[in-house]
Amino acid sequence: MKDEKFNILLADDDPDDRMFFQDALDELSIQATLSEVTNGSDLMKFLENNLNKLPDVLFLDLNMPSKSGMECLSEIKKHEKLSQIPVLIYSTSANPEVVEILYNMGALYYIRKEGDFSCLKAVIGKALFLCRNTRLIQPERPDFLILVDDIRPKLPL
Amino acid sequence: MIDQFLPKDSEMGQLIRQHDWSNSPLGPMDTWDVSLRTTLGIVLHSAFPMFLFWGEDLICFYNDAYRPSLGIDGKHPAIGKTAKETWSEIWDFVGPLIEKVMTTGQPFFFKDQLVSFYRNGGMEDIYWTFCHSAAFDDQGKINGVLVTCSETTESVLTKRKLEESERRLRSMIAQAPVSIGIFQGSDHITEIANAKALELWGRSSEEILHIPILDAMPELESQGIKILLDEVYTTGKIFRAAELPVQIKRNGNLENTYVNFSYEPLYNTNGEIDGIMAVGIDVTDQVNARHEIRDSEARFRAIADNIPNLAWMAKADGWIYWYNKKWYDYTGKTPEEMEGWGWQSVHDPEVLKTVIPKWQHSIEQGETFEMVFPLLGKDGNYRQFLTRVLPLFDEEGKISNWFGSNTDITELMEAQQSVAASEQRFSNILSQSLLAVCILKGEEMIIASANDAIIEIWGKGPDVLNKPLLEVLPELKTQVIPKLLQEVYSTGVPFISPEIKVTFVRDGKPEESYFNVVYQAYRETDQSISGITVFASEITEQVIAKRQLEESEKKFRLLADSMPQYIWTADPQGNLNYFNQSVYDFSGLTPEQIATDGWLQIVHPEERERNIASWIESVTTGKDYRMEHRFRRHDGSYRWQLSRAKPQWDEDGNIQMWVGTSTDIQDQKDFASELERQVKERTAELVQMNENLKKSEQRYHLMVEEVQDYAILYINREGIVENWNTGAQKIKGYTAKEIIGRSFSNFYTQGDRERGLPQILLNTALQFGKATQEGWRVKKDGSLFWASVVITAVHNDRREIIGFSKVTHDLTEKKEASDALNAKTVELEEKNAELQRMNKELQSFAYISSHDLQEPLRKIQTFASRIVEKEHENLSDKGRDLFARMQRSAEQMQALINDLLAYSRTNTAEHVYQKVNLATVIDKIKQDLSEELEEKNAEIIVQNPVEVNVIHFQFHQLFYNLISNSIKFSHPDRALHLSITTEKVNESNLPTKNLPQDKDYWHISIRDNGIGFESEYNERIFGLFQRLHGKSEYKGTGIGLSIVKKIAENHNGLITAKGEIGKGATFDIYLPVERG
Repeated sequence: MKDEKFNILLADDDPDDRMFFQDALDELSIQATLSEVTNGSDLMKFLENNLNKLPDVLFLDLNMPSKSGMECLSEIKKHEKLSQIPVLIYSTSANPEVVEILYNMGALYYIRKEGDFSCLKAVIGKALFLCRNTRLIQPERPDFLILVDDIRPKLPL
Repeated sequence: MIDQFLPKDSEMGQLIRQHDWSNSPLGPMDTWDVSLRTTLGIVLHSAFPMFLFWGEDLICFYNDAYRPSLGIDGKHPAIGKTAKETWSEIWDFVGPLIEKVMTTGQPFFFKDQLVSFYRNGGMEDIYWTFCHSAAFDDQGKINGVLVTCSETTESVLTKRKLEESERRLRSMIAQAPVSIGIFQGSDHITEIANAKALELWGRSSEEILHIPILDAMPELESQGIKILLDEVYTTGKIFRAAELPVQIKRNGNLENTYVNFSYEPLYNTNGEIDGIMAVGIDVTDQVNARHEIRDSEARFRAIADNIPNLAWMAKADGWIYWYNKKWYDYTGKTPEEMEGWGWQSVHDPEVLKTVIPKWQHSIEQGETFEMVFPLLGKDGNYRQFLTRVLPLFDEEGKISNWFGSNTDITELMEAQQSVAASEQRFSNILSQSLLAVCILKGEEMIIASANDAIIEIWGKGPDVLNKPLLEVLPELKTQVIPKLLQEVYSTGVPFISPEIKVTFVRDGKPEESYFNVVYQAYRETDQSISGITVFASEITEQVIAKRQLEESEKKFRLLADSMPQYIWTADPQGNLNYFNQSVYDFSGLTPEQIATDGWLQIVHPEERERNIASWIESVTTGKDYRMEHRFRRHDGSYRWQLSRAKPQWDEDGNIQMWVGTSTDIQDQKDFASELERQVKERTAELVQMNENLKKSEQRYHLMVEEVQDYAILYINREGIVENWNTGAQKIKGYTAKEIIGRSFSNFYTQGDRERGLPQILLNTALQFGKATQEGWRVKKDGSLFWASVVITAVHNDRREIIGFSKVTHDLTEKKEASDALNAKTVELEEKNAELQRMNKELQSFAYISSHDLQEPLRKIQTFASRIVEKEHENLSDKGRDLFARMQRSAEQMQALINDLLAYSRTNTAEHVYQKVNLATVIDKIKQDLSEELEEKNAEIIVQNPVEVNVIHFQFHQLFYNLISNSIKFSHPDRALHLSITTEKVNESNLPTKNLPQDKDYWHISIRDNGIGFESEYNERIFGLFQRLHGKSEYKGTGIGLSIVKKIAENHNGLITAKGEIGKGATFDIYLPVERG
């Protein structure tokens, strides 16, 4: 592991989700710097402006105004300098067809925004662990969608 | 007298008497024991050879009979000497013997014992039969040894010789280069047969030894051999035969052999005949060779005797041993007078002086002898003979014989001489002669004389005289003739040749001619050569005829060999002696194989007997031979042949030969039988067709007549109606009577007629065979109807158009209906499009709204979970309960949204079909639901998993939902058991007619043992938001099975459910095997 701080960039228009993400990072006690952009256009501008100090990993929401996550990913993958950024999709839905498309576009992992916070925490933790401790190459298709065991206590019916 | 016991006339008695015994150990004779004297008396009086050893010193006595055994220059006289002294050289043998007799009194007997001793001036091998016995003195003591003996040397040696000779005889017999057999007894049992005999007899020793020869060789009996053997055996007369033909069976075949042999009686010691010795030599080869020589010699002599020349044969040294008949006829001499050098008596003594050295020169040098000399005829006149003698060589290249011939050329010479005397006369004679003659003079060969015959041959006209030959006949320059002529001119040796080829240029063209010619030196009276006489007779025609014959023979063979037919010839007796190449090619046999095993081997065994009979019939009667039979081809298959042969008759009406052909008729046979079969088949077909035609014609007539809905009419080429049916009457209103004979253009509207539509339609039908049109037509009453018209050209057998059939259908009603339908269809299509649009909007609305609904819901859940986690302690019990309920509601809502999403996605998603194995899909679901399945202790059995062509994720969803459903409604009292089976079914097995019927379907059945449901809900459970149970009993949104149904329908298939309360549920899914 590098000594330097891990630079995470989160692109999400939803302030609640950004909060959940920050909370999760805090609770996971991960030594990382989190930068945030709130839409696709800003994301691309941010990246263009920080070509010399690109994030170590990008968490990318799909449903964003002005430029969707999918459009951003497409641009990033076409960009000479940006194409190497590890992009993790961070989305509410896990429509299998959409997941398939993003896999083919070159996203590194796909994370679902879990409804349960502990699950969300677990999945973000797992994603960051994979990014920092494994080679950043696209996994096999079945491992693309990061899942965590539902650790919620079973509610009585 | 003391010596009275000694016989007076005995030599030995005399010697004993004269011997001075006083110095002997025996002492004086008067002191001798009585027993000694007695014994000696016996010995000396015996005529049998005896010897006596007496006393301690073994003094020797012997009688006269013994004396010869001591030989001439040997031991004799030994009387009075000691044994040791006498027999010193064999004392080793004799000493112990005597000693033994002396001590034991036992006699010893020896037969033919070899006792070699010195006599006749040397050591001799002597055989004895003898006995040593004891001799007693007066006291009864053994005091001597009496030897009675006889020398058997001679008899032993004789016996030895006899044995040796027998051994030698046997080995001689065995090794003899002739065949020797010995037969014993009156049955002639073979005792000995040497290798040559076995070879001659063609038998092995096992077959022949120790059995009567005639049993072993039964073929001999009928040939008189038994009589011969019996005769020799009984009479003892030796039988000898030379070159006796005997048939002997060798290797199963009777072979003709010639044998020189003798049968000699064998005598036993009693002088009785007890056997026969047969000695034989196989002379077959020699006899055959001699026969051949004899035959060939006979042929030669026949030829030699019949040639017009005198001829003779001499040995290499010139000794003449044979003359031909002509010689004797001419000379009138006898063979005895002529033999050897006797021929000189018929020569002119003067000329003989030159003949003999020349002949001797030829003999020495081995050179051909050639000379002209006179020979004396029996009429006392000399005639001139051209004599040529050729050496004949043996295989080693040495001269073996001389063959001489003398040709009478007196007339030629006389003619030559008389010409010299009277050239004119000669010329006249020559001129009239058919023989072409000319005389060429000098080196230049000036034509001095030429008769008409030769002038004609030359073809140069009569003014050739006194010109050089080569000037007259320049074409000869390049030919051999000038050289031959020059040779005769320079050597004087005549040149005689048959069939010499000469090319003359006649009328500017070279022509080949053939001549028998004689070139003779033309001699002046002083015998000097001044020119050449040429005699020639033209034989061009004969040569050409001969050539042509050869050529035609060659051509025939070539032709015959090149013909695919099998050609053969036979001699008048019917023996086939020629086959063309095709026969060998076809049969794969070589000429040798056919020659050895006969041509009949080619013929099929079933036809051979018939074949022989037929052929013999033809050969004996001379009738043409004709036969169908099968020949075996080289590959072993048989093919049918038609063989024919005709006899060739000569002028006398005798058959000269047979010429036969065989033609392969297999294909014709096959073809004929195939043709026959086909004809039969066709005939049957034709009969059938005829019947069908009749029926169909009847049917057609009925049909046409009775068809009401169609006007069917026949119009001729000009458009005139000729036929009219009921339908036509009904549609157009005319009766047949009214319309037949009128133009069909009457049915067209004024406008159509004006623009020539009727003719246009006919032209179209003429050109394309058919014209169709829909349009208004006019009925009899003037009203219009919408008609569909088909005009079809009708052809006759020759494909010529003879008219048209016209079928008209009244479509007025149909047209009205279709016009209305068209209007409706447009409306429907618009509606449909609108519906589709709306549907799409609805679907995207459902998708988007469900998706957007998720966001706030998820956040509610997240916030709730945060509160539960962080603020749990701050909530009251009531508050925590309410909070939990809120979370459940949120969860329920999330499930609902997820299902709705899934449901709408089944419509919107792209439909990508791929081949998926059912087992793989089920395995994946087992993983997804592993926890739940484990909890229910579930078992899923997939039988016969097949590969299906489906939208993968939908198919997955379908089974996921069904299996989830089964888990959810599993029976609480038993482990969940799910069985999935697959089979391929066609339309007849489908539960509904709503599916496309013409394809195969996979019927996948999934059956559980859960709580089941009432059968009345079989349909309803697939409805959207349909729930059979309260929410508190079983969670669910009521969308799962709707999705399942939707997916089945998306795949152009269907799903049905069957429930039985308390027992379980079965879902039957039908999906097309092939897409589309």
